[in-house]
Formats: sequence, structure tokens, C-alpha cells
Amino acid sequence: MLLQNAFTDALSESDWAFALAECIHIGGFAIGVGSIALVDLQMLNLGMRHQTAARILRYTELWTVTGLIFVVFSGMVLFSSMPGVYLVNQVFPIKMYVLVAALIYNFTLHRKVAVMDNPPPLLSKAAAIVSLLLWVSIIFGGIFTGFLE
Amino acid sequence: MTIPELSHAIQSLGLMTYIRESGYTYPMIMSTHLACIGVFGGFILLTDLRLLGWALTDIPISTVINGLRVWKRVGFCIMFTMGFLLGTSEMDKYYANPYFQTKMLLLVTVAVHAIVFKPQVYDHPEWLDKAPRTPGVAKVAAICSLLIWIAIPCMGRMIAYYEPPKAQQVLSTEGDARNYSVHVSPTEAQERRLRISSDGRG
Repeated sequence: MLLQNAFTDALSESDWAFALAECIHIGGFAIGVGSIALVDLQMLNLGMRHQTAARILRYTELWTVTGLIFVVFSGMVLFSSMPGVYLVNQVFPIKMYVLVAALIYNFTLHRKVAVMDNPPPLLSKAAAIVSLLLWVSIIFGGIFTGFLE
Repeated sequence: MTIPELSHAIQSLGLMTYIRESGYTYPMIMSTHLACIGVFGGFILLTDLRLLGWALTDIPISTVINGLRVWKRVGFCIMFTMGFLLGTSEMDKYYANPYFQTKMLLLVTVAVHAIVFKPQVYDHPEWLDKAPRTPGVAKVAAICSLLIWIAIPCMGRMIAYYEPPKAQQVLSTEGDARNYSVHVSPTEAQERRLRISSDGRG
């Protein structure tokens, strides 16, 4: 099912390769999640003056996508070092389900509400809070994957 | 009092001992630390990218800086508090760790960065809006900030991978530990690998 090749062997033997992938993972989510959170802040009316969530979204979207691509790919590299271990981990599969949910949510419902001209304030706020909770819980899931078997 | 003694005294404080020995408190604090990197660290990077003209391009610099100032401060306080708790609860292991030391040094450069660039760039961002092109000093501030804030979490992650010098280390899973007089526990990364490999990979 999963390739075992020189690359993944190198990864599991060397702490350096694993550590580097972890650093890229952290940098990636700082940009990806940070730019989503910036849109959320605007939807909560706690962000920048005289700006709309739609504008913030438009000018950060490329960074969101770039960041998320880095996170996902570095995450796949980390996963490929010890797939069997991650698959039987108590937390990791839940993290993956929440991640898929968050990705779908971000580019469908969340986006739709963010670009609305005059969204009902309650809807806008709810959409932002759901988004923040999803992304933060994924980060928690990542740490707990390392602490629980 | 020597540094090792001081480190031991710090990590022996009630709160630090509790954090180190607790099952869930330690990873909860670490998760909060990382979640702050995700949310507020992202704000720092995006502000830098705005100064460089690579993100949020149509939004005035002053709007970005003024709008995010309070959030970056709140985030820094939470991030710092959580990091402080993590660091001090493992002081014995960390004080001699070169990655930890580098990270502390980088935190000092954050203060230096603020002293150097705050008056010209961050305190009065309105003049940056009026300039036909973003002034050089703002771009230098952004590049320095990017470098510092990328290096800090990387050093933080690397702390877990430091292996103390061989003489002090217990090498053996093969049971030769009696040859080594000083027993040092495995690094965090090794521990994690051990824990993880104990249930699957063999």
C-alpha cells in the first residue's frame, strides 16, 4: 500500500530530515492558518478598520493556499516516515478527519460567507468561530499525536 | 549558585514539577504554544509580507500595522507564557542545549529589532502609506523580522533533537549501561521515537 523506498528510509533513520520537515510544517501552518485567522478576525469585526473580510480574503488567499500546500506536503513526508505508527495512533486519524472537514469548510461555506456583501452578523461570526476552532483543534491534534500512542 | 544548580532549582519549583510530571498539562501547554504560532505568528509573517509588498497589497500599511498591533501583543504574551512554562519545567535538560540557547538569543534580537525599527516603522506607519514606494527601512525591518520569526520556531523544534555529548550518554539498549557512570535520560525526540516504535513498528 505504501511505498517503502530509500527516501522514507532516509527519513526514519535521520532525525535531521524529520526535524526539517517539522520546521516546514510549522512555518506552513503559521502562514496558512494565520491568513485564515486574519479573515476570521475581520468576520468577527475585530480586525482592521474600514476593511471587509472579502478584501482580506482576496489579498491573502494565495498565501493561504501556499501555506496549506507546504503543511500538507511536509505532513505527508512526516507521515511517510512511520505510516504504521501514525495509522494506529489514537489521535492522528481524528486529526485527519478534522483536517479534511476544515479544508472543505474553508473553501466552501467559510469562503461563501466571507465574500458576502452584507452577511447577517450572526452568520459571519459563527462561521469565523467554527473556522478558528477547526484549525486550532488540528494543531492540538498534531501535538497530541506525538504524546499519545 | 552555578547554572546547573539554578536550573535544577527552577525546574524543582512546585508548578514546574507539576507541569513536567503531569500527563496532559504539558502537551496542552505545548499545543497552546503552537496554536499561537499558527494564529498570531501568522499575523507577524503577514505584516512582514505586507511591508515587502507581497501580501495584502491593496490594504494600506498603516491599516495592517495598526489593526494587528493589539493581536500580535496578545499573541506574544500567551506564546511567551506558554514557552516560559515549557522551558522552565525542563530546565535541567535545556540550559546546556545549544538550540535552546540560540532560541533565547533570538528572543533578545526580537527586542533589538523593536528598539531599532519601532520608532521609524511601527509607531508611525502613516508616513509609509504616503511614500510613493515603501521605504527601504521598512523593508529591512520586514526581512529581519521574517528571518528572526522563522528561526525561532525552528530552533524551538530542534531543541527536542539535541543529544548531549557522548560521555554523558547512555548508549545502550543492549544493556551495557553499567559502563556509563552518569545516567542521562534520552532526548525528547528519542523518547518520542521509543514510545512510538514500542507499539507498532518493532
